[in-house]
Amino acid sequence: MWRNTQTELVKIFAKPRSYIGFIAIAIIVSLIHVAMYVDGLNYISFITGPLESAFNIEGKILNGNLVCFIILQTLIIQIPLLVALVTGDLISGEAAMGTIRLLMTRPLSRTSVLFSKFFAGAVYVFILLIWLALVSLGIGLLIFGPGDLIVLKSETITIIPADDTLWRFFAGLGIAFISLLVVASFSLLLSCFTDNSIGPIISTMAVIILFTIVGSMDIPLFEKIKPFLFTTHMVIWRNMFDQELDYSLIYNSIMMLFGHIILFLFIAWYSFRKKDILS
Amino acid sequence: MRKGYILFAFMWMCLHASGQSAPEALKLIKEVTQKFNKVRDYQVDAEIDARISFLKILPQKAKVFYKSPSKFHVESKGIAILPKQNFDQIFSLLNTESNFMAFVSGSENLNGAATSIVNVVPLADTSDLVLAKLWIDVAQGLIVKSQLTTKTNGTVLIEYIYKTWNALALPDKTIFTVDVKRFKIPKAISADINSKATQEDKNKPQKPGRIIISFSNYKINKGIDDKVFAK
Repeated sequence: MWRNTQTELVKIFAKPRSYIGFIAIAIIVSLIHVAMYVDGLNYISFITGPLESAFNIEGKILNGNLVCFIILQTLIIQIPLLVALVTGDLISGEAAMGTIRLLMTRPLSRTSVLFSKFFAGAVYVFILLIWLALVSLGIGLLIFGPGDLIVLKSETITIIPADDTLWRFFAGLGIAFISLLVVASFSLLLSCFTDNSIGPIISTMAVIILFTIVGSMDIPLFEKIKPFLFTTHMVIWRNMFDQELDYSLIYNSIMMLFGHIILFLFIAWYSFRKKDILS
Repeated sequence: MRKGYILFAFMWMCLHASGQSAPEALKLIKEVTQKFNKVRDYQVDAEIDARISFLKILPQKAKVFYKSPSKFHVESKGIAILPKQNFDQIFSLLNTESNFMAFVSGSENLNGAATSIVNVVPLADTSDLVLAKLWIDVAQGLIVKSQLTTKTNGTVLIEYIYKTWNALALPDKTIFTVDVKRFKIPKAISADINSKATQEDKNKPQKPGRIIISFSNYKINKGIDDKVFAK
């Protein structure tokens, strides 16, 4: 399995599109860093405005931790697209190129092929997140320095001491990794049903956008559906930045995310095993 | 007719009061300012505990610097939430008798201490302060409570607790109570799609915010470099 995974990783990194994610993250993060460096205090005043109307805020508000948090908050919507760009292509891309039949002639079970591709996708996601952490947090701290983190929620503001932030970022990235594995498994599942790459990629994004919209609307009908949408649990990484962590909520969401991964992989495995490969 | 009498009485009071400050009020204020005027500068460690419904923050340690007549600086390692009013703001006003008019409007027993309520009205049109109501402990000559009504920040209630430095009117603890508006920003901006405020939450009256500042380790009249205040 590991050898197959290595082969799949080589295939992933041989494709130019796999680097789009790294380049996109580097460009977006650099732009945000430059913008925050030039005009960050104005942007921050928009966040702190309601508080500053009644109180004075002392201390270094604009710092590497805050900039990293803003970046993560901004990018978390886009990163699934960058993941789907690669993982949505894992099976369908081979089908489109006609190499899947060749692959199936090797003495490998279909289960092994499918899971090797998933694990290779997971490694890609992991490397992408490490890259994101490096450029957003690492470079952010170098440029802006450390400081207390202001976390904005729709009805509360939480201020986390600087020395209590690093582990939260890593825990948040850990949860983001599980969230992105849901995206990877979902796009892999869609990838099993088509013979072109565009379909699974676009469909994955369409589903994420749709679920996010449903999740953000306070309509009673949607309230019943929300707990079952994986996008509801994908944003749970933000809860790592609460002053008092609601461990049961975080645990439940992580379990829901794992549940989705298992479900998507099971359907993918079942359909791929039965798939009549004609291309 | 009744309203007319009340209006007349109020106007008479205002005209009477604007002529001169009541000597009793000035005497009380002088007692207070005389104590504080012995302080040329001070540096003190502070622990700032902000208790505001929409704000979640741990108590923050800071250093407060003051230099007479009105230089003031707070230095904290992290982010600290402070009231808009400087701790010495009221003394800056009270130091010059020509800056304000004052009159005693009553008396009250606060935590076992007999206090006189002194109303102070700044005379300058440009002053942000509209009215200061001071509860002055008659026996000790200390402001134990004040209510400041400002043009820009509404009304602030400040309670002062003295232990160590009564003689210089420097409090060991100051409690600011400030009216705060409900905090709400669109979910799209906060990316907080899972939050939901119930109708019950929305209807709850907003509690006033409190900032409790505990002072310790006063260093008084040791001299402070002006550079500290330029930061």
